[in-house]
Amino acid sequence: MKLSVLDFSKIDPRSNDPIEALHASIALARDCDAWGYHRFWLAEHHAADVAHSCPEILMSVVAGVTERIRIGVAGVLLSYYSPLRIAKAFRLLNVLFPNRIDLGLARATVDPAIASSLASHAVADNHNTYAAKVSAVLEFLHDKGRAPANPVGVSVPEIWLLGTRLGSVSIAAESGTAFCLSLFADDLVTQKGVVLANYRDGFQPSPELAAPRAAIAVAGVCAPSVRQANEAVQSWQSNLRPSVVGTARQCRDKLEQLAQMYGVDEIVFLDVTPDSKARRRTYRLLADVFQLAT
Amino acid sequence: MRPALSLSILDFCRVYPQTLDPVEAVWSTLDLAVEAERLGYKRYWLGEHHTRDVAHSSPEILVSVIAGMTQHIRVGAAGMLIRYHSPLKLAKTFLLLNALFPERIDIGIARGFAEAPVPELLMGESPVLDPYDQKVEDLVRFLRGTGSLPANPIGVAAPETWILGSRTGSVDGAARLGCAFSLSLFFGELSDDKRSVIDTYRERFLPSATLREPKYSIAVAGVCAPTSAEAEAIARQWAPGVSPGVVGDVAQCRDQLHETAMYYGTKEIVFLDVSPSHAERMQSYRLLAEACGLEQTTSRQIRRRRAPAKDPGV
Repeated sequence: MKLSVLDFSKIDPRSNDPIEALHASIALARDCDAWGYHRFWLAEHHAADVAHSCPEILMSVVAGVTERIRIGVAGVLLSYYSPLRIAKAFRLLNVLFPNRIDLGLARATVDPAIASSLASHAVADNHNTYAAKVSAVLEFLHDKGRAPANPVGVSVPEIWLLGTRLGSVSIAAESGTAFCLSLFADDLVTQKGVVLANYRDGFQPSPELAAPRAAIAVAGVCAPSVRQANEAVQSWQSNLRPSVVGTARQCRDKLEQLAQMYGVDEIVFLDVTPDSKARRRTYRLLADVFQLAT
Repeated sequence: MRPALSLSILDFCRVYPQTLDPVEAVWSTLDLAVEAERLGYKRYWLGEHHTRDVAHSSPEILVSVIAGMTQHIRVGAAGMLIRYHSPLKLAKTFLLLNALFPERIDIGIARGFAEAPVPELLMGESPVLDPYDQKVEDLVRFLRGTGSLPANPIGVAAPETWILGSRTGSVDGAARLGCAFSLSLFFGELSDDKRSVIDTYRERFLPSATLREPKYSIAVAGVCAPTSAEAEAIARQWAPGVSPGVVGDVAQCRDQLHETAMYYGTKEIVFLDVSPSHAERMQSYRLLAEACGLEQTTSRQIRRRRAPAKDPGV
């Protein structure tokens, strides 16, 4: 099983120091690199409780201080950005850190007041617009767009579509990208199996990806005792659904069960405990129990 | 005795079919930035261009990598084509950079355009086109924490904010908002007298929370080589789109740079080298450092200056 990390750079309310949160993310990435995690993904959020909204900047720092772990964004809020701009940024990142960069695209939306300042155009949040933007990103990455996406002629980062529903999965399948199914955004966990089944059935091979590549993303906490894990979850101040909470063995059993249920060999784990020491503990315990470093 | 000049580098990361492909051009830039710090340059600035003859269009990404590879040289973009950016996103980007590399980040704002179809591709089909002045003002407010929305990371210091210009058009905003100003001499004719632009900036300057006094630099293009013949050959052949104003051997470049600095009343010069290969670029900036008597830093000094790594407490 491959384990990966999704990191939100949450600010600890006790210190309320975004710089501390940024350094905690950087330190966690170094640890997870050493502990054998497969990917370290940074999210794009625009709320006040996260330290940054620019994963593409932080990931270049994180990639620079790590050796082997793949670094990515999960995900770029594509509705607000130019596909050309995204392609340019991620090609450059992939030149700087060859074969280590993941570009995750997400359809999530932000508060309308922020949205109007973030986007330079009217944002139409619907399936067709999103699908068109995804395919524009892919065209630019493959030097088939209407303008060169410098640096031109370089290799393409690994492309992931992130989603919770059938909508994005059909785009991923038709475009031949990898797909990561989030299980923490809503309650529909029992119906999610069908999402990945649709992805596999509809998958069209692409130059980068000959066969479907799927992962699931889950939220949770791993701690030395159930009580400590529950305490950490209680501090989340988040509407995310923690589905994997407990001791290392309990978490391992649950994650293996989920992997089997969804037919995946890769899980992205999200701990949003504001206390960075507790977050680090989660990832250390999971790395140990899965023996990632060996 | 002439006053010591402070020299900075402006790098467009140009691609040259025979000598520098896009990947080589990016690596040349990284190499040059590390060497620039050792040579004593003050700032390393990266341009945003969207033409095929540059290796990248994302200076903000290279700023973070270069800042991570160096210890004290200031690193910045010069400049971000603000027409094609969201001021909020730009502010978030450069506040994050300045949080990661405190007191080392510059954001330069350029008024330039990209050629069709790039603007439409960057802005969408039905873009909201705020006027340049409005966008600059919005950006500066977001950076200073006085914008209409919070820009994370919240509460961190603003990067040094530079308005770039070659005419009087952009100088008003720089003066009114209390920003630093960098005057480019490499567009248009070399003989153009642009001192009036600087005079306007100084006269109209209003102090801001981040800058009490006018602060400005002069940006020139050119090349320095072991002999003036070599320098002239390079400048003649390779300077598309820019006018190389400072061209020659060490002594000639020294004279021209001091003359320019004195004429405009500044000690700070930004130099855009036009050499078409990595070796020639490196040589040009080494010779220029010599010409201006920049103080070299040894690697031991660089290490000593480095602030202790912040303990994240985890």
